Amino acid sequence: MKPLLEVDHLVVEYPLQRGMASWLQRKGARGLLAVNGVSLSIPKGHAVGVVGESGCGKSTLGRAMLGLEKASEGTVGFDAKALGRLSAGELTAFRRRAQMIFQDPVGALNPRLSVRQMLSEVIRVHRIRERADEEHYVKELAAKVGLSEDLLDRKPRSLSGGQCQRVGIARALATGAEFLVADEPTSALDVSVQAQIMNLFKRLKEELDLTLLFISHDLGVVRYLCDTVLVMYLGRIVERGPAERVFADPKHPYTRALMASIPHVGETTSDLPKPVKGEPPSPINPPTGCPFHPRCDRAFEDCKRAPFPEERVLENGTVACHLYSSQRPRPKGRGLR
Amino acid sequence: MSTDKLLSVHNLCVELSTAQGRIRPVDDVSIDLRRGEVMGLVGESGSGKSLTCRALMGLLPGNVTSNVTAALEVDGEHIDISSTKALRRIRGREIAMIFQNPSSYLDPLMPVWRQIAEPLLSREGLGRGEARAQAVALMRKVGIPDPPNNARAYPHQLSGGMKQRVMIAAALACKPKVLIADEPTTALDVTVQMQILRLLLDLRKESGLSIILVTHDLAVVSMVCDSVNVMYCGRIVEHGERNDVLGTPAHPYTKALLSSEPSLLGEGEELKAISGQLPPLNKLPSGCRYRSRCEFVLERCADQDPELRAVHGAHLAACLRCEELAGRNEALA
Repeated sequence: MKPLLEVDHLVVEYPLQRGMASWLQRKGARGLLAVNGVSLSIPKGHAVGVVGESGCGKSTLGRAMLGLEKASEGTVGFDAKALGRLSAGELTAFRRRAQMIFQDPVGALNPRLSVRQMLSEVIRVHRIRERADEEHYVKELAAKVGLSEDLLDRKPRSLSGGQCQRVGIARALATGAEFLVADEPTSALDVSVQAQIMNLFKRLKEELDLTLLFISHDLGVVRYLCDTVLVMYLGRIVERGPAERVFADPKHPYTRALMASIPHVGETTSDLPKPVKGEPPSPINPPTGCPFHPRCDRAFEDCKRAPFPEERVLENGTVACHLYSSQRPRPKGRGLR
Repeated sequence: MSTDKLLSVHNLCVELSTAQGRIRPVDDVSIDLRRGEVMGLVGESGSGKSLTCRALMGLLPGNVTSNVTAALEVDGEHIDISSTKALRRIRGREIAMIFQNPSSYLDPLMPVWRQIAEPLLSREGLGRGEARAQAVALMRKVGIPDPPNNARAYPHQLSGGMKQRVMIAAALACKPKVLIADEPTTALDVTVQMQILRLLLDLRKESGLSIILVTHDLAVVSMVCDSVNVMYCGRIVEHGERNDVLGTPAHPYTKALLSSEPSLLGEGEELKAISGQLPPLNKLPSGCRYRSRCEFVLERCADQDPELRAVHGAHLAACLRCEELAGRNEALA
């Protein structure tokens, strides 16, 4: 099956302000590489989770996949067409098919419009329905995301966070979107409400055959919803694979460290390994070699000097780590082909 | 751990006058904190957990008329909670507080050492040099790398985790006995969250600090707390030792919270969401406040407002069916 989305060696670079001296010396000619050579493809109906710490480029990747950030190098292809080459008309059609859901559910809505107005705005801009049909369609959308009809005339401030997020989802679905990028859609919500929204995502994904890019720092949420997981560190994918495999048997030391940092109910401090040391390095001035080596508990000489390890294909996904390169003896007890 | 009481709050009520009338977002809350204990305070947003802490510190928002009543005792000394002066005396020295979003509590125009040293300069009357030396020592204690250099940094030059460490250092400056941590790790990455939680536990071990940890994350409670209070709609609905509350939850709300956590390893079965939301405080239902969302609701729940009572030993719950619920031990072992 042809993938719906295809990202090929995507680089997103933000320019940095440089002093004249460094400009003259051509020092640091590159800007900040928020996404640094990421390739992925998502088949239709698939949910891909992106996890990583803040600043790892996961949101930038999501925005670039919707054409909201310009690719400095590489391409994002949607339905076999590169986003950068779409004509104005094609771009509007693309926007109808690909939508975004934001982290701050209240902030993403216009405070002065009622829910009904917000939904009909989208319907009119994209000419989804005739005026006569509009009211019926708005109610249909509200029902789809589990909003009761008496909330339609409310404004965001008199809705709860969970209800606002439902409005955000209804608005994204109003255009008949097939592809959604959800950027931390539940991190501002309480666990009880988060569970409601996650169940909604899961139901919609099955009912509407949605393709999802689900960005989150909460691994549990990703585990619940996604088929595939990408682990990002400093703009690169360090591990990818089916969700069950990545969570049951993480290969990359960073993925393991992330997993070890998650508290579980029923665990006490003494059960847990030491947390990963330090914080993610600045992408403005990344460390040499593997960017994770200063924090890695299994780093060896190569990691400091050798260039960024390439992604190696394993039976079940890929991993980018020198521990798994062919010259090295295999680490004991790990399933490596 | 000794069992002597360090902080005891009895019948804390916070009343606010709003346009919708008088509401009571904190209703008859009692907390006993032992020396060196880490106590969790859990609940949804709007359950009154932050307000409880702020009331203890005398830090309620000034734009609403509030009325706070409680019997407050700190380290054996009775404190008049309605007196601003008495609260100011204990603030920082007896009880200190850190907040969810360190960036908005730090002054962006002041180097961090000055902010840590602020209480030392103004309250302990130390000289500038000595205060700075102490601030640097505090920064070292909370694990900020290269303290002499980072002392000069401004908040925007530090990461979220480092800013939270600065807040902790500032809170510890006057050597308080109780630290109230209001969602200290909610805005942080999991890796950094773990570091901050470790730091809090280390501080407890080193200096016998008692901690009230406000959070909505039961997994965090499970990891670091000795005892737990679960709050719903301004009331404590369940209290007990960690293993009792999380292992055999006696209140349906605690049970529901536990089952709505997505698990990392289990199969992708439907998450159990709690239907509905908190009832508005000016329109509380009769009887039990949780009954509209409760899956174990009985007819008599509408007539009777359950009081906190013992399930067994020190494990308390405010539910008519708490013994029965604690008995069926299905949530986790």
